[in-house]
Amino acid sequence: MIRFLFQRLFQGLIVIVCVISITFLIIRAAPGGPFAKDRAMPAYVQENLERLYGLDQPLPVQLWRNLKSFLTLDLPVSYRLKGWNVKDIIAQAMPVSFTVGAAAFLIAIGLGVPAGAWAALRAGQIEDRVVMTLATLGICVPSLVLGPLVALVFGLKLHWFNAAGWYASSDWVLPAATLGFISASAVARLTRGGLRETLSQDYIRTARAKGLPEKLIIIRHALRLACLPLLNYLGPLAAGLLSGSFVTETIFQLPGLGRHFISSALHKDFTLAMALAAFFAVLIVVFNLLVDILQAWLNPRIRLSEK
Amino acid sequence: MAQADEAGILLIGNGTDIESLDPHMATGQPEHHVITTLFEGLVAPAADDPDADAPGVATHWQSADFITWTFHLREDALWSDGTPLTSADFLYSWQRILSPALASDYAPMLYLMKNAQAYNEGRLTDFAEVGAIAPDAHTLVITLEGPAPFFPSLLKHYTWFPVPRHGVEKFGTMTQRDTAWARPGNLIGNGPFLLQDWRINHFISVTRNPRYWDAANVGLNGIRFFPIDNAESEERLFLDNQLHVTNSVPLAKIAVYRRERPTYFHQSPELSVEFYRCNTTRPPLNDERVRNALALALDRRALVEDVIRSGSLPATSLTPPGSSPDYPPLQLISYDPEKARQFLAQAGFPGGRGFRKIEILTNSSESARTIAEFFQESWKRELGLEISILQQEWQVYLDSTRKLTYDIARAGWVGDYTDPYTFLGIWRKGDGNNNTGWNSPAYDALLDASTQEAETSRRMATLRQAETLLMQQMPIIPVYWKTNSELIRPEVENWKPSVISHRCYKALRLGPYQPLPPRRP
Repeated sequence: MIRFLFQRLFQGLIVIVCVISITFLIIRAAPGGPFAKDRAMPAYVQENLERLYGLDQPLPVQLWRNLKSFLTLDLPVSYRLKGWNVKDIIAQAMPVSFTVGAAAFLIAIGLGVPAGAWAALRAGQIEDRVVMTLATLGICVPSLVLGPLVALVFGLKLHWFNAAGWYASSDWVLPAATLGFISASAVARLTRGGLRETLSQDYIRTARAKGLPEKLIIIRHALRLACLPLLNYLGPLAAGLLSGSFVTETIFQLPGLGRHFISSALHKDFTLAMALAAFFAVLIVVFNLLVDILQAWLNPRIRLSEK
Repeated sequence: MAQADEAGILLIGNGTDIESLDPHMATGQPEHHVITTLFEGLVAPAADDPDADAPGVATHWQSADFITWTFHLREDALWSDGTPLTSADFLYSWQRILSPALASDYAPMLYLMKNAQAYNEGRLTDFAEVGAIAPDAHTLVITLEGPAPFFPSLLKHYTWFPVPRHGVEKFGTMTQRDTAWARPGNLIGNGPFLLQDWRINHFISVTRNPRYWDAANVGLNGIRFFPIDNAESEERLFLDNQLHVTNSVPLAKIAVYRRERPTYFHQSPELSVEFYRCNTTRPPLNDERVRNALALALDRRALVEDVIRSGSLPATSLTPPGSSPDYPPLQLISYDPEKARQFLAQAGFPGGRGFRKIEILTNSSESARTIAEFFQESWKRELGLEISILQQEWQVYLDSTRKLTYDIARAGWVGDYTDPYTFLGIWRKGDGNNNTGWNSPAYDALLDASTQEAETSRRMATLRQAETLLMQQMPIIPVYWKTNSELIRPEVENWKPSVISHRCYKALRLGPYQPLPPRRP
């Protein structure tokens, strides 16, 4: 188990180094630079800037300098937000994204798993159809449609919450509900699929033959295995939700990480883009590791030590 | 909202997120809005007309020839930490922004000052040779390259503002970029307000500065600026009582607001022009008859009234109205499809025959595409030309424009100061903003003549000649002059329109809370 953990952590480190390098190379390959403005700047000033930030160095040197600063946790300053270290920027935005993301994640599970299980047990019946229609709708309606709709109804019409902003203690509700509902749809479909398949397995028939009560069969035996495909989805989902959503953050004016993801790329803010990509990679690695551990615990057939 | 009104805190939508509050590092209009609350230049916007000049740190100034200017600084001017503000602070600041090592984007705003350009480009290393001296602690004498009657209005731009040496150098050297001196807790200013908090993508808050020389006349206790670059989100916040003033109004709703909400919908002209650049190094656009044909075949009135519908004005030349009381907009281009067809035939393309397919380049915005499609359709209908549209991301589009890898490219220009020169100066040969490949010795000579002319009517006549020449050769096709739209709550008092987004913050007041009129009349 310990060996497995070390192995995975080492692999994770390599993934993170690769992500930083690839982000750097892609963003350097794109036309335009971090200092280009719609107004011209004197050539002398331009050269000075490039020298200051080491952009006149050969690409491998630049890459190495960046990697070194990330690996030694001596993070660089943002190219766009002058005077701000990327660490400060992420630290400011992280609590916002984490709050909304964690709430959305809980909504996704709390709503999606029971709905999916219920649909699986009523397969083919009207309840199943209603739940699955809603779920399909949730997957199809993008947040840029659902978000403004939610803001309009619960913010501007009913005045239950602020239409946008991050000031009142209840401001997480609408964005989390928007993101949560959309993610719950996928969770419900996966739960339904997993449970349907598990319920047709031999060992469930055996359990039924033993005369176990149906409730016990579903909760103790079926759901446990039915969760496996769902778990694979939940790792990246958690990482995705916690790192913020550009669209939702724009609609609800949240000062979260999602907007930095897009704006750093658009503004060619190399350092911030790399830091965010690295941050996202860390989240993915951590959550995938958690999923692996959970899967082993849920399914005795998977033995971590055998891997 | 009612709480904010009572506390005297104004809530303003402020467009895109701010990059820097260092007056020498900032470049955008959102930055301009916040920096002018924290710092004050020699000259300040006047309360009843922010585009007019009022005393700032300088109580009065004079110039006999518009070349040498003497500014008299007030003796009670203080930095927000209590340190006296003197003429040495201004010299330090101008040296800082012009230092090549600092690599300030907007340093060219100071090039009017004698030898400023040479110092900024590293050709001159002794700052004493730059045209600014301080005979004593409260006097500044500035020498310009040539006469500029509009010079005081230029001093309202943040590039000319003072920065505190003791505040800057506590966090690094004079020319060190990326230090934390302009962050909350560190920033020392001299404006009517103090920096309180700065949350990225969230808000910037400022509070009243008790040490400001005119603190008794500051009407607000504080201001909160909200970075909101999405007009729909901003409108929702306004209707949800979370903003006093918006930065914009969703384009599609402007006509409705104008009709149904005159009490809080406001429009005012901006010193800003939308135009298209022609790449004059590429045939057939190297022929001025072709460029004139393209310019004449556009029904700009239909474009602004039926397509854009934002209250913008169809352009009849380049320089927008409001650049100077002595320079009313010229009437040089109109919609004349018949003449356009004649021009095209003279250039050898009767009915568009033999004309290669050309491409319009725009940045990737919805409205830029809509306008490009209008052009595409107009040139097809009137001239029989095949046009395609290419949209690129902002940074890529800038790159294509600079490298002249386009046929026709959308562009905009916002005036930096209230004078037509801010629009005409960029078409000189070799100017970094020209980007059309066009140049004309006659045009450059007219511009040079204007910079040596101190008498206003003669100077304006020379600039008119230059603009007429520009519009004859048409390297750029003006499209429309922009209008600024904003939603303003009724309790906001003394909010005055400005063509270059100047605001006299100390004059603003908040009256008692008033609910917005009902949404449907």
